[in-house]
Amino acid sequence: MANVVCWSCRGVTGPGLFCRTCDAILPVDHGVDFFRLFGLEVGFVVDRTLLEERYRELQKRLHPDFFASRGAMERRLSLEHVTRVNEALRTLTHPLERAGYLLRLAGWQEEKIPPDTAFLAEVMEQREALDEVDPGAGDAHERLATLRAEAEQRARAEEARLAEMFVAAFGADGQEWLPRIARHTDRLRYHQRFLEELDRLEDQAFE
Amino acid sequence: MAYNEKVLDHYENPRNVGTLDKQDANVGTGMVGAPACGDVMKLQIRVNDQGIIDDAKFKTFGCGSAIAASSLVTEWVKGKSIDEALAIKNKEIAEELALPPVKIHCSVLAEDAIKSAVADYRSKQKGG
Repeated sequence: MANVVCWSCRGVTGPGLFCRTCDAILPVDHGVDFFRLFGLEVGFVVDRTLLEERYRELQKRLHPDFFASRGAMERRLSLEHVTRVNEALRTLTHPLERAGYLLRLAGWQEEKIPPDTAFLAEVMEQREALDEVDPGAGDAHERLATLRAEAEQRARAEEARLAEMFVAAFGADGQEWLPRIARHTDRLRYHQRFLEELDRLEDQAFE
Repeated sequence: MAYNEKVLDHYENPRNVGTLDKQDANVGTGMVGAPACGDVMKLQIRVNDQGIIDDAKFKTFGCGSAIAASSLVTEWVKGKSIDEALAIKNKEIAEELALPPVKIHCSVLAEDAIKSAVADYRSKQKGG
């Protein structure tokens, strides 16, 4: 990473959050990916505890509260930093967003791959089963719980597959894995949408 | 989002919701999905001996525009020959329902569903 000239002291400083000479907050470096921002290894499997720990550390150094009495430039930069840190946390926390982000990092151009019919038939079957649940009926909770357990199991299985494939994708001949990963990321999105729909119905059943 | 009147009409009173017998040699089943939004659409057509689509059913799980687009195409394909049905373009669907640009993919999905149903029907005819 190239050195930059500090906007405040005009001294040359290395990459980082703060100027190594005058300690002024530096502009956001978008070349630093979200994993590196948190000091984590690039990959689908993320240590959530470590992620949250690093998040708190960054917030402690960058939060606008600490810059309230500083100049306009510093206040603006602090806000830009925490906005990006928050976006990074959100992206790395959710498996679906994490998968999409990793695909982009690996250079995947969001080509459309039509989902295979067998998978769609499965999704349709799930959706129909959900559609048949009457939120007012006595067995609604039980049926929704069964559907949720199944859907969550499918989503976890998809995540496990993605974890394996991403390991391969960041190794040799990684590019070959990207279309398959994209397909499985799409599948995960279907599972997630189904679970969101289930949440909605469950809310109705509890009213 | 404010939906157009025709979209609302199809959404609130969808035509031809249901299922045809998948095993029937004269029934073609199309299954398409939009991974970006998690929508899934099933369109079935039944073709009579004269080669005319005499029944069509759909089931769509997705947004109002996706439901309206599939409901509309079930109405449009009925009474048409297979080639006429294949001539239906997403642009016509989008225009009829006045879909905004962000919902154009719903009309694309409906066009793809027709193609998928016809392909299934044709492969069955060839096989049988």
